[in-house]
Amino acid sequence: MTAFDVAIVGAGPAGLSAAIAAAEAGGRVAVVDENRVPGGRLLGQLHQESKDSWWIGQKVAAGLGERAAAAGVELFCGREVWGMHPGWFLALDGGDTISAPHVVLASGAAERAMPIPGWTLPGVMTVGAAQTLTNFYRVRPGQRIAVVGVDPLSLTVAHELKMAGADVVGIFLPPLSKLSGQGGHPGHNLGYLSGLASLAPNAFLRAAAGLVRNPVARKAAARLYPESGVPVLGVPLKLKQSITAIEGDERVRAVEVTDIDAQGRPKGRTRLLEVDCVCLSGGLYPVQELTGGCAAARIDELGGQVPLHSEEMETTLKNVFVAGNVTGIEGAKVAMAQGTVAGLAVAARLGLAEPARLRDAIASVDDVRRTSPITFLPNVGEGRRKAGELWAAAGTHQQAEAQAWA
Amino acid sequence: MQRLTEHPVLGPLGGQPISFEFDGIVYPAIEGDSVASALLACGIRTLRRSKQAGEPRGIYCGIGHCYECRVTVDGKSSVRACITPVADGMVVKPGPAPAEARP
Amino acid sequence: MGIKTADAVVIGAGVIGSSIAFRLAEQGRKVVLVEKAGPGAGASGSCDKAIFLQSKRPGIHMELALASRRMYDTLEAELEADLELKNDGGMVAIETPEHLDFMRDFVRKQRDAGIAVELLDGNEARRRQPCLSPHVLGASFSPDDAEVNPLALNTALFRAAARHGAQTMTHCEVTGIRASAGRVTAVETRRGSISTPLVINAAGPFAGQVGQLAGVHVPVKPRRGTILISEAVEPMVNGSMLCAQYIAAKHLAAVGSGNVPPYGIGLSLGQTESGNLLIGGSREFAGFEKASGPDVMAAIAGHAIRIVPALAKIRIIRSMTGFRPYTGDGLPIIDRAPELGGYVIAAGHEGDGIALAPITGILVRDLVDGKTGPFLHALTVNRFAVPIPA
Repeated sequence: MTAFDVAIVGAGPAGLSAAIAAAEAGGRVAVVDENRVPGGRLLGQLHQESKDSWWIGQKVAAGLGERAAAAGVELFCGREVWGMHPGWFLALDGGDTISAPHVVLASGAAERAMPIPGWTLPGVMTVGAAQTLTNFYRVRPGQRIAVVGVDPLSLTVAHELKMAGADVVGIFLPPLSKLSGQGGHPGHNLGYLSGLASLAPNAFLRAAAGLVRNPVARKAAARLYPESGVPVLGVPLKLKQSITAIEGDERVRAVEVTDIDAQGRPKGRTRLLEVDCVCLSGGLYPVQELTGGCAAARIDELGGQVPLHSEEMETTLKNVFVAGNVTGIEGAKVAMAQGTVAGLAVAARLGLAEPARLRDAIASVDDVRRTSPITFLPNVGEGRRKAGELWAAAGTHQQAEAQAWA
Repeated sequence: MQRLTEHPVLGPLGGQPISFEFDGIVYPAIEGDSVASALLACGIRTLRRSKQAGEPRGIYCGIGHCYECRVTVDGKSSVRACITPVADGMVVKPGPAPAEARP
Repeated sequence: MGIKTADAVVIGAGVIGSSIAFRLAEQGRKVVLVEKAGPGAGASGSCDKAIFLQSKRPGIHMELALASRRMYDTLEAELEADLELKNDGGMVAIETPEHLDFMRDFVRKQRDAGIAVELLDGNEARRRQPCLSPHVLGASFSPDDAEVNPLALNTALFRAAARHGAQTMTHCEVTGIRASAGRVTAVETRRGSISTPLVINAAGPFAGQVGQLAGVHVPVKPRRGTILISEAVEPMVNGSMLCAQYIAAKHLAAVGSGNVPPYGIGLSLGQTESGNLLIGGSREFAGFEKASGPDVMAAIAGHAIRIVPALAKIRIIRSMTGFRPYTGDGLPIIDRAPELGGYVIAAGHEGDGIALAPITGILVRDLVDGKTGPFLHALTVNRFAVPIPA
């Protein structure tokens, strides 16, 4: 058993930022991550932030890792957390235990499965996997690639694959189904792209992004969308075609492309398009495997089930904090800002950080959110507002309970 | 063929060449590779076969969440190829090991 | 939403409530099945898969299990569903001379009661179940023990109830029972009121709380159990397996001295069709506290590995903890509440919910129809003259 002031689960942008904030204040900090390489989703990230600056996630991750190490953070990388028990005790694989009075859960996000026929064939992978393989491990996942699912992440990854020299044959819609929900609807997808206005170099998409608040205009845009697609960052965005199956025996050989109308309904014509790799984007959802004891709510604007938390990122479980995508799907910079808040909140509990610093950190989360270049979910602000209201209600309820017990 | 030695933003790829074994064959890798990325760079996509139908399976989520890429590394069963760094001389076998073959 | 009316409202859509709703609806009764969470969200969804006969105490307990077991032979056809039912027998592993004496006596009584069960020596036990440790002294074996997928069973019963016209309301909590002149008149739920002359409390471990809503005393308390679940591995367990300590713990029998595992642990081991092992389990009284702690899991694993050493090499991927509805004498309560007309209790099956679900539907139907039969007299609520021990 090894004892710390705070144990942090997840060495992504949120977890590392929390660790740095708590450790630089003087706290004894442990970070556990099942990946041997710290950085989480940062490792794969690569996008242009302005005319001559790029966000190179692996460099950001390396920087955070070095800063954490310099502050004395103990990194348990390549270790799994098997359980979390009150006190708090983190049971790791192999029987080791970490104990700490405070915990920060920064378990991040995973991608929703998109089980279209053929999805288990080697060569079919999530866009997140393709991103890490391409940008971090420097291995192209295929030569001719179809991307399925239209959202900010899939467009970004399509562009990254193109930059890596792959022939990206198009970004297609998934089939219209219960599983894909609205994901197979061209009009809905135009709406989704509103978060991408700054990334879209194309006049049509900018216009579409501006129109999306008006449902009538959205329908019109879906109807007028060209059959051949529109190139976005050099990759054809095919809002009038969906991938209805993936073909192959031992590996991916082709995708079945079906023409669809403005409502996403198949128009009958299908054909095979040869590819050797298919990247699926079902969207990210917050990973809740360790937050089971916290009061939570399903908030679709944040990507799914999320734990309720205070401004200081504390959940309904005392001394259990959360940060990053576990609280809702947003970019790395927001995750880092949330992580800093959680780390300083723990430091303040330990008497190691000034309340004013914590207040500043809390205020900066909203600033970072407002200036983020990419918004993964279009109504994330609304989602945060809902979560805040639910927290306030839960807090009142807890106070009432505490009084009843007093 | 799939290895990106040059990249317009990230520049040239460094790293020490190493080698490891998969399913009885020796493959090259670069230090820092995961088992999955090293195999993919060599054109190997199938990491195991499904238990009942024997269908091929490869990398899916890439973050250790889905367990589709599980292999046996130096006798240790059910290791995720996507988050396990490859090491020089490592012996990797497809899929999990049968219980009686485990150390 | 208009006011709903029903001939009967069943509270709880686990295997017990679903089985009851199915049998009542089958008769043409207008049934509403109300469930706080989803079908099988409680004990029915966090249990092992065995239908054990030889773990039952000879007498009424055994006869009830036998009658229910016979119903399984036709249940898949009746429910039009694949329940993954396998008649592949069950084994009770015996580790100590004291347990051997205890099981010898237990088996003799079971044979007298007409169960096909035999006592095997250590070598014969290992021949049938090669995964057993060399130190195992012997085992009892019955070809009549079987296995079923509890989730498939729950779903099939729930769907069969719906198919016969039962209205199902899931994720809908019951908030009150209305009564007039000593009789039930309506069930209040989060989604409105259901006017009914008959309510059936099949809320399993929560039956006590549901009873309180109507001022009905239901002497059922939660007995916590944890089961470990492994990754899918090649077939390694033939049929289902228990250890003699499980039988002793289940019946609260003190056998031998020392070396009694903590947390009421006794082995239960089975393998699903996809290859995952279900490794149980514990029996603890801890209220409704669901976090059972790492020590319990480690103790379950340690006990299981001692009997089946190959388990040490197998990866555990998760655990599940649930609450068995415990009555104190190993038998459920299937009875009319003495305090209130039109209120039926069908709860307290402890670890036998899967084994007894088929017969429970029939027994409640008979009770409602005013029939008696060979079992109901032994399942009354009044048999607990004194409160069950804490």
